[in-house]
Amino acid sequence: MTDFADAFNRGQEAAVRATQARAEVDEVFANAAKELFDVTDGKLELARQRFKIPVKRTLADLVAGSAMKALLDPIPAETEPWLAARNPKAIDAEWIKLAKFERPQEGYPCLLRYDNRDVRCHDQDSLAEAIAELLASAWAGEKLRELVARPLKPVTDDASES
Amino acid sequence: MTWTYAAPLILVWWNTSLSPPVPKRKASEADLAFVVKQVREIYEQTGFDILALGEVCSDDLAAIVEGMGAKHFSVHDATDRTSRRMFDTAVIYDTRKVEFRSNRSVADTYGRKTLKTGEVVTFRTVQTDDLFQLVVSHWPSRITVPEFDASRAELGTALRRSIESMQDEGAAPYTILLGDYNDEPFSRSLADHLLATRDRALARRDGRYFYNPFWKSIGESHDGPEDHESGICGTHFYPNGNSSRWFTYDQIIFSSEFLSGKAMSLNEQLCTILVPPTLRSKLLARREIFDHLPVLGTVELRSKT
Repeated sequence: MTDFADAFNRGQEAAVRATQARAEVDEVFANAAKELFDVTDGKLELARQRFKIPVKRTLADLVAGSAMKALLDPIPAETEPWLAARNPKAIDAEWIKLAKFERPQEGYPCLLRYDNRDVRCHDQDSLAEAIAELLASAWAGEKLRELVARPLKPVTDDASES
Repeated sequence: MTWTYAAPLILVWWNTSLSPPVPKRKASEADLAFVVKQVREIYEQTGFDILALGEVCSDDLAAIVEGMGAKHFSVHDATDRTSRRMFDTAVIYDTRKVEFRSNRSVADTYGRKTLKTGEVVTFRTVQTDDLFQLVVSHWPSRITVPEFDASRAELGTALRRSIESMQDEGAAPYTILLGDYNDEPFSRSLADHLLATRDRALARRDGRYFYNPFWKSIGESHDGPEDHESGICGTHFYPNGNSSRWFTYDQIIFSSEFLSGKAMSLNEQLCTILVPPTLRSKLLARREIFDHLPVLGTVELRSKT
């Protein structure tokens, strides 16, 4: 006979482990974000952001009328999570994508996908290593360098007084 | 519309034993010369279009390609001995038959330990203009990651998820997995987690499955003891094995689409273990470094008529 009580207890234990794992993941990102913010005097912000999934055009889109129909009756755009960065002090303070990021409900393994690499991290230490490796790569290095070099917003009197 | 046979696509995988992922190399110049000669002989006998290699470094690859004396071969060198990871796989391919399109490295990390799940290389067939993915793997030895360690199963799951993810993003349905998995066809990592089945009809019917023709290669190659001069019982020989000294760790596995009789079709008669006599002798000799035989896989390329 199915033991529902046992199943419930196992589910509760799994929930505790998942909550702990997700907190670990959050901690790694928080540490990485703080270190980057500090080392760049606040010119780099790192965070997980959701971006719209690019819609692939199909033959149906080219058929007369369907483009107009899509405008009148739009389907909500799907989004996907990315590790992203921006320069909050720059005139152009838009987020840019660094690596696609996937994290299951259980917390691990989470996936970083960038350049021509897929890195699947099975614990907190390996996630920290993988983010460090991403930041140390030429792929991310060039993007971050460009962000830091962006023209800064003019400092207003209000801001200087506060 | 019918499919007409155009040409074969012949693949070989061999773990050469030259440059394993450990700091100190044991191979001598004579060992490298033997591998160069052996590859040339295998090429002459099989006419392979793609040769995937394990336990090689960039210098080994340069010597092998030079030794082949064939200008129409190029190398995708995925080896890396500069970091603690020590990746050791590469692909040599005939540019007249296939065109390199892209590559992707898939790794699983645990603490400071990184396991290379596979190197994905996307090719286009020159003659029939079809895309396919080749996934080359050299999974960790059972000394590094024991047989029943959970991370072995994770490698199978990770590989399957990576391929599913590529398919979701529009990759071609043709995927060939090959390498030294340090696991048998019946190991849980491959059979249950990757879903590489021995059941051809199941793999044909359900696209989630891969078909592994090397299930047939887990036993003795010959019926009687009189064939002891040429017989084998797997692809890897380890003289101190407990239940067997032979293991079928080297395999070529095909996605379901290769069984659908369309543009690329598995030719199972030409999927087998290659047994060059000199290499077999070296496998059985304890003083030699060589412990793996090459494996052959063949696909028929077809065009629409």
